Amino acid sequence: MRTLGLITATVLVWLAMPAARADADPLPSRPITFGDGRVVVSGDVAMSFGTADEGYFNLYDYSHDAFNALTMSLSAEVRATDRIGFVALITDEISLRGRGSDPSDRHIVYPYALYVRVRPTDRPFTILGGRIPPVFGGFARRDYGEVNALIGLPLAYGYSTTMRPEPPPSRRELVLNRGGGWAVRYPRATAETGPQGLPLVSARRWDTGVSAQWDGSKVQAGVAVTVGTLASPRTEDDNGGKQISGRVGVTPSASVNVGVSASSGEYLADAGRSTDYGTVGWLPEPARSTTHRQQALGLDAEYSLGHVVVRGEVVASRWDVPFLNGDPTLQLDALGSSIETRVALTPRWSVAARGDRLGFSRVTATDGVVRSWDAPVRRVEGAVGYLVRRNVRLKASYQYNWRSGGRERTIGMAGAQLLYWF
Amino acid sequence: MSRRAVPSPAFVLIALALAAASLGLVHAAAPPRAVATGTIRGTVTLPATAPGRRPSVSRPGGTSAADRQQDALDRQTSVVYLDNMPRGMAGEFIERKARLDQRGQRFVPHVVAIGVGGTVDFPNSDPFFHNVFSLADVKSFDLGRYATGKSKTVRFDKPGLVRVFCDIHAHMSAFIFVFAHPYFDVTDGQGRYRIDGVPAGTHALVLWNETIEPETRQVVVPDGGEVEMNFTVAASPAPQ
Repeated sequence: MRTLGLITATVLVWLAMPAARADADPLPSRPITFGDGRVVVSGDVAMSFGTADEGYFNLYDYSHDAFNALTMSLSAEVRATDRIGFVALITDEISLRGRGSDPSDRHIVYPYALYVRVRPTDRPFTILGGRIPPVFGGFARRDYGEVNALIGLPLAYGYSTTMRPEPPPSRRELVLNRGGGWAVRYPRATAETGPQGLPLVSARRWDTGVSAQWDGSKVQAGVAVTVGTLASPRTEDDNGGKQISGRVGVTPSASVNVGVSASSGEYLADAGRSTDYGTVGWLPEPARSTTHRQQALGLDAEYSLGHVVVRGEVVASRWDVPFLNGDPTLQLDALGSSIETRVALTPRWSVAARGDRLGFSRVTATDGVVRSWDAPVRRVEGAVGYLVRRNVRLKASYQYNWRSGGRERTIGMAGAQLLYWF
Repeated sequence: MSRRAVPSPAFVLIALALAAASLGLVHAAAPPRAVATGTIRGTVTLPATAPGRRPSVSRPGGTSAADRQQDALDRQTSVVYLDNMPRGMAGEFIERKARLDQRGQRFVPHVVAIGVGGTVDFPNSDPFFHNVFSLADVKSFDLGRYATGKSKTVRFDKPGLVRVFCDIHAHMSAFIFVFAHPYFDVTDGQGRYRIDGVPAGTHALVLWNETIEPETRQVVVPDGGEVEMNFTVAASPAPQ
C-alpha cells in the first residue's frame, strides 16, 4: 500500500509540473483520430487522495470512495455515417485505500456508456440505444470529471442510503440500520442485490435502454425507457419492470437553464422478492407479487454570468417498501438538495463550494417510536482549483459531514485531486 | 531674377538636432534606409483530416449539416512567417486587428496573426455562452461567460503564440500569433499565402500548422521579384 501511495504521489507531481514547452508534452492534449476522422478516442484520468472515509459518506462501493480513487476512462466515438455513431466509455477504477478483503474488489473495470446514437435529420433530435446517459436531473448528465469543481458528489447522487433492492425484515430493523447504508446489517438476498444501499440517483452507473432527446437552444426535452431505476441502473433487467424517465429544460436566456425531471420504475429485484431469507422467511403475499416502484421528481437550475456559475438541484425520491414480517408496504421518501458555485478568480485559479442536505420521511417503528427511516445528512465542501494546463487541473478540497445516526456521525475530509483529459 | 528661399541658420540647427535625435528612435521603429525588397508567396497543402472533436458522452450530440460545413475562414489554419527579423530591418510592423468568432462551437478562424500591440475581438455568435481564456505566458486572460451578440477585445503587447480555449466547450481552441515584425501571413481558404516587402536576401521561412512540427526552409528573396515556396504537409500527428 505504501508503494501504491508513493507511485500515486510521484505521478501527481509529474503530472502537475508545467511542461517546458507545449510541444514537448509527452501526453496528448487532444483526441486521437483514425479513419479520416470517423473514429475519435479520448481519455480521462482522475486521481484523488485524501482522508480515509471512516464514516462512509463518499463511498461509491465498499472498496472505493471519491477521496481515494484512481479512475481512468477511455471513450471512443465511431461515426459510421453522418447520422449514426457508436459511443463507448470504459472506466477502470482503482481504490487507493486498502479497504476490502479481496484485492480484485479494489480494481474494477466496467462499461460506463455503450450506445448507438442516431440523428435522423439535421434538427437537434437524437435517439440513443444501449447503456445510455440519463435524462433525469442535472448532475449526472454532465460530461467528464473536470466539470465537477469539487471532489465529492452531491449527496443525492453518491450517498448510500439504507434502501436496497430487496425488502427489509421489518420497520424496526430498517430504523435500527439508520446511517448504515454502506453495509446494512440485515441479511441480503443474494450477491446480486449488492451489499450496499442505494443512492437516490446513481452517478456511477448508467442505465440500459432507449432515449429520445430534443436539444434545442431554448427548450430541451428527453424521455427514456430503461431496465433499471435511477437508484439502481442495470445492464440486465433484474425484475422484468421498466423505468420511464424524462426531463424538460428551458433556457430563457443564455444565463439561465431550468429543468424538471420525473421518473418511475420498478426497483425491487426478483432476487430480493422471491427468496427464502431463512429465519425471516419469504416475502409474504400480496407484496411478493406486487410491483414496487421508485418514483422521483427533480428540479435543477443553473445560472452563470461572467466568472460565476451557480447550480442548484433538488431530487425527491419515493420507494414502495414491503417488509418480510408482513408489515404493510410503506412509501418511504427521501429529499436531496444541493447548491454549488464556482468562481474563476484568474485564468488558472478558481474556488468552488457546495452545500448539501439529504433528509428522509418518518416512520413508526414497531416499538412505537417515530423516526426518520434513515439518518439525515448534511454536508459542506469547499475547493480550490488550479489549472496547470488546459487539460490538467489540480483541486484541493475540504468536506465536512454531519449525520444524525450511524457509527461515525461527523467527519472532516481533506483531499487533493488531479484531473487530466485529452 | 528669382530668389531661392534660404533657410535661416536657426532653422537648420533645429532641423539637424531633430534629425539627429530622431535617428536613434527611427533605428528601432523603421528601416533606416530604403532597402531592396521582394515577395514570398506559395501554397500550403494539408491532409484533409481536421483534428477530431472530443466525443461528448453524456450529451445527445451528433452533427448536423451546419456543423459539418466549413467555410473559407475555417480553412485558415496555417501561418507562414520569417523566423527572425531581417538584419538591418526593425519594426514597422502593423498592429493588425483580428477577429475570432465563436460560432457553431468553434473559433472561426482557427488561426489569426497580428503584430505586437494589435487586438483581437471575440464576438459570441452562438445562442449560448462561451468563456474564452488563455494560459499563455505571452498573454493570460479569462473573459468570463458572455452571451450572443456580445464581444470582448484583448490587446496583445508581447510577441509569441497564444493558445485560446473555451472553458465550457473543451473541444474549442484557436491560435493567435503575435509577431514583432510584419513578415507573416495566414493562409487563406485555398492554402495560399503572400508576404510582401521582404528585404532581399536569404531568410529562414517557417510554416506553422497545429497538426505538424514547424517546418523551416531557407528562402532567397530576389531584389524586386517574387519567390514561390510551396509546402505539402504529410499527415503526421504532432503533440500540442
